Amino acid sequence: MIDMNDSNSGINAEVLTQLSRFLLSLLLTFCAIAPALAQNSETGSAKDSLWTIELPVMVVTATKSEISLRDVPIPTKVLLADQIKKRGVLRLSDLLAEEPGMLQVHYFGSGIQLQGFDSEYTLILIDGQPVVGRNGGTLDLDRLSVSDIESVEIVQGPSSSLYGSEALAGVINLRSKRAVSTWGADASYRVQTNGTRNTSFSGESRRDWVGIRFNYERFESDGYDLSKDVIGLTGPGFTTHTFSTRIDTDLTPKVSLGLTARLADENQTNTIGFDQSGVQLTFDEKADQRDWSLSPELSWRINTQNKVFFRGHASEFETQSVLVDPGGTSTIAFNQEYRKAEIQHDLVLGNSLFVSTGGGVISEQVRADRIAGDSRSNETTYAYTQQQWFPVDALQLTTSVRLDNHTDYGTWLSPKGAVMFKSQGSTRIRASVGTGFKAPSFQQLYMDFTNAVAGYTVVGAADASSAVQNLDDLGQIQVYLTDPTSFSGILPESSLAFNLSSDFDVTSYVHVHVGLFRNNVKDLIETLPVAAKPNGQNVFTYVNLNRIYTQGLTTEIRYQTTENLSLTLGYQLLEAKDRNVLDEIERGNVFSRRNGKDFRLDRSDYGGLMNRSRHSGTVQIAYRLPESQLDVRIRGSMRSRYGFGDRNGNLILDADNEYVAGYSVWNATLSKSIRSRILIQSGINNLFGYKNPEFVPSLSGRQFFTGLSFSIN
Amino acid sequence: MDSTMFKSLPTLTIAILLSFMFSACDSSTSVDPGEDVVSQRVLELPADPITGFAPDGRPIGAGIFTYYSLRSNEVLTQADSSSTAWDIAFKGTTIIVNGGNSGPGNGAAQVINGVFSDVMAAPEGGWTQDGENGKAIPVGSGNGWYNYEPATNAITPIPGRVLMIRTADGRFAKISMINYYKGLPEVPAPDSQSRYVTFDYVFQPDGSKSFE
Repeated sequence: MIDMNDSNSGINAEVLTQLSRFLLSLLLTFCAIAPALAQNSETGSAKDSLWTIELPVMVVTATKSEISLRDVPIPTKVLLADQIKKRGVLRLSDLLAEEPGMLQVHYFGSGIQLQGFDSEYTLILIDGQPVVGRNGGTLDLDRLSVSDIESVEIVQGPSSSLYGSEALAGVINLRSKRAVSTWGADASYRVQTNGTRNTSFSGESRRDWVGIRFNYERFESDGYDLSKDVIGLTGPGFTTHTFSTRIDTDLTPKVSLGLTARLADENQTNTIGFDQSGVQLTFDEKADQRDWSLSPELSWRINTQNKVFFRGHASEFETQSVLVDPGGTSTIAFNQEYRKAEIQHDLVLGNSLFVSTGGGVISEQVRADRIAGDSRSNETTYAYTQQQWFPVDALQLTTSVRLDNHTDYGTWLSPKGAVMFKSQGSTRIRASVGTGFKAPSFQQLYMDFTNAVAGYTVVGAADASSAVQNLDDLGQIQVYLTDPTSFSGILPESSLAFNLSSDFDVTSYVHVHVGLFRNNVKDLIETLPVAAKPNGQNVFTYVNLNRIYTQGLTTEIRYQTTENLSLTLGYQLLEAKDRNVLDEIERGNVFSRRNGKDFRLDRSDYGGLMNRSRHSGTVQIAYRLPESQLDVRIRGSMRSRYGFGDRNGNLILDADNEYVAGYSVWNATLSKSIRSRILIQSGINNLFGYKNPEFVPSLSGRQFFTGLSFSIN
Repeated sequence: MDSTMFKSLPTLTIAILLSFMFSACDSSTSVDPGEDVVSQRVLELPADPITGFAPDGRPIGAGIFTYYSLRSNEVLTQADSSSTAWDIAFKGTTIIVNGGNSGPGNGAAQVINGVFSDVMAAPEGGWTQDGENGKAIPVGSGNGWYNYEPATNAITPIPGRVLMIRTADGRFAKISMINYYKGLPEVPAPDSQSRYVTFDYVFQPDGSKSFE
């Protein structure tokens, strides 16, 4: 099954790497000559929204209060609707994968690796409220459509001092569109390789005091198969429906009420099976997933100094997996409910101090077939406060702290401090020290999940001993990989993080962002295989993996060569290592075996945590022809080799055959608008058709798409 | 080149081979200080191999240990399982030694970290026997001699783990586990036949702890 030395894929990877290098050098050459071409078209601030920094964009995620992007003390990145539309990207996972320092990773769904953290350490919000429903820790970002959102805000580094648990690597906030025109409607349809189709409708209306907008989207695919000799599809077919609405009203000039609601439903079917001594066993699998949320917010501007927000949030996530085999039908169900009530008070004191203070209660419940008692619940009470100081024009200080009191984990304190220096020009220097934490999730504690397709089982830490014993009694344990009596309690994960970044204009065409980060993490929760089942799959549970660190450098260079052509280059250097492994190497206890000979490893042999690429980069080219209303977007993302798994028995990444070769994925989109009413879009995703069925089954090869959208207002 | 070296080389080879043969054929349990250490590779020893599959897909084995004598370098029959003739026995990834609750002998074991060829002597202390609280060679991934890699479903010997064995008659051996599959694949394929253990061992017949 696993053959790293497959000559074909090796050559392809090499060709791709060379191609990427060639394209990069081409772009760099272009950068060098472009100022000469551009010098006659001095335009001042760019009109293209790719240059988000040039626009008076307001952001909310970093400080839980509206502030302009230029003045936000915590580095925030914003992707705006127009830009998302022109890229022709449909799902959040695909959008984020094109951004530097954000790598698409797949583990029970599509997630994003941020600052070297797995996707479970990034909090995902819609209009400031958390999206729930993680599987194996991953919140599948393919669930979230980006066609009807105003912007995506990305805050890197911990924000637990405002958001509590999960905001450890960063926070990604989707801000939904509000009604702006008296009457408006959009309709769009798109077809793509693999029978993938996307249909969406939206409508809006705004009167003096009330605005309403709704969106419906149907996203479906026939799926794809990369391994014909394996029964079933590599990527199963699915149908997804998403309905969302946003209503906002001004009840009085001082009191306004907003409501966001969302309902999403996904149905997936596949036939799976395996060959057993020449006999093919097949099963039909059907997986349904549904989630909804409702978020009312009341804001009351008491006077010029005081503003109060009352926020409520209710959401539910459920999955049902049905497996039909010759022996009958088995169903696995999971349901999670989340309720939150929060109040926040914003206070302006003079010209130099802005204080936000808030608190709330979160109650969560999980119901699943094989959770003891069928249902578990817990509660979190929290309070937070944030001070934004503006002592002088050039300096801004922000301090925040949050206290969480959890039914199961007691009290947790998360402080953070940030400072920003502003020059007269565009230069911004931002530095922060903060803490992040992630409480063990319901899944990590109480989950008892068996994927009927793949056959693996995940059991929560709290129930691990009994769950594994039950499996053993049923003859479902072939071999123990960890002593089952060693399972103990699980703690929240916590981090201490340092972030330093600088934004500056080299010339009026070139904007540079450079960021450095360091995260010291302890009690990191990782899945651990505790036993192998007779079907060759594993039983996993969750344990605190003591200490790791991630550190790196992220840089982004944005270059507006002419009014109509821009180029963005992103790069991340990453190091993510297990400190316990480093300690063991230091003690001389870690060995490797090569050509049948054992030898001691030293620090330089250790490649760090699996699935981390030391180098990764992005390229974005935006080109438009105003006279013909054409817009071209070419985006590339590449990553260097990364560890896949251990092959020489020491469980750490140290040998060359433990790496997946680096690769790049390029996407190109061509848009043509007709009288700003009609948008015709065509494109190619995965332009060079990179495929790796073994290690990157999520990439289905080259995909063509074409679509039409029509809007009236 | 020195021509005497060529002359003496065949003689030396014969002498080594003879010493191997003698020691390999020696089934006595007495201590004889005159003997040289025995160095052997045991190839693809069946350790309760899979014989078939149950209707639900579970592999079926006979559920029995394969008993081995390090002293005589041979596989013993099931009938010998209650005797002191065997030193070590294999069933899947589980290894037992002839002592404690596994057998009537004086066998014991311990797992140490080190490079196999660099381990020049058996430790003075630290010997344990199979018992209620576990095996002398701990079972489970990472605990004893192997690691299990979930990404590839492979059982791989942990590099740098040396199994120190006290035989049923109180003499000493060291073992390096080489492979768990037929054909000794570096990385097993999905159709690799598991539960065939290959290991190298050095046995000191003279009763001392030295492997030199």
